[in-house]
Amino acid sequence: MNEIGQDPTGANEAASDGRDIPWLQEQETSPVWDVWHVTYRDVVILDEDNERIEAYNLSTHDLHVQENYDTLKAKILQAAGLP
Amino acid sequence: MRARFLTLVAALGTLVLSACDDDEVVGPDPTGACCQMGAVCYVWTQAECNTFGGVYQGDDTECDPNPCPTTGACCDSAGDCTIVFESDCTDGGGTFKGESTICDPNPCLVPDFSAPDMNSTSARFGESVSPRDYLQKVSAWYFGHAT
Repeated sequence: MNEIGQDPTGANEAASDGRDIPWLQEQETSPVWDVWHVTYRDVVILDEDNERIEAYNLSTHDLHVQENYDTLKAKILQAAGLP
Repeated sequence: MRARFLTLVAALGTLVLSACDDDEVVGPDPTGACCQMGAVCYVWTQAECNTFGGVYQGDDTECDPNPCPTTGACCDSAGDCTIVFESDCTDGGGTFKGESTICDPNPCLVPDFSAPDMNSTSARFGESVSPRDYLQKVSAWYFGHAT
């Protein structure tokens, strides 16, 4: 989800280049950053009921660090009830 | 002798009457469960309960099982969770998740939104995407900048 105002021409295309999952653009009519109280580079994990499990911030947990990558992966798998 | 006997009977009658009057005045007040600070329960008289700011549950009520309300998770419209009493939650427009429920993990449904998918190689390109599209599934939402 790209924050409002962070979408100069070509930016969204560049951000999603090489990936096939949705890359969303926040809308003025639906300011989810404020409503969800997220901060820059949060990954918010939701369960099957759309209830928030937790937010994992990638500024404080750089995914280039293998331990952080594994931790986030484990959190998502755990939320899905997978080993 | 007869006069002294009658005097004695009258005196005893007065004593009996006095005793009966005293019983009515100083008899123990009924007690009942008194909820202090929400969930803490004491068996007190109503007067004692009121003195200490409690909520009297009625004569002859008991503390076992505890009749006092307990706190629980309350979800506001933004999906934030606080631990409060049910009445405080609903009075504030929140949704009470039940007594003794907790906020960690957060039991609140996140507010919905919809936003267009900008990724031309995504299967949902051009569509409005919402978290509600992923009910029954675990999902993860990244909040970043394209710049």
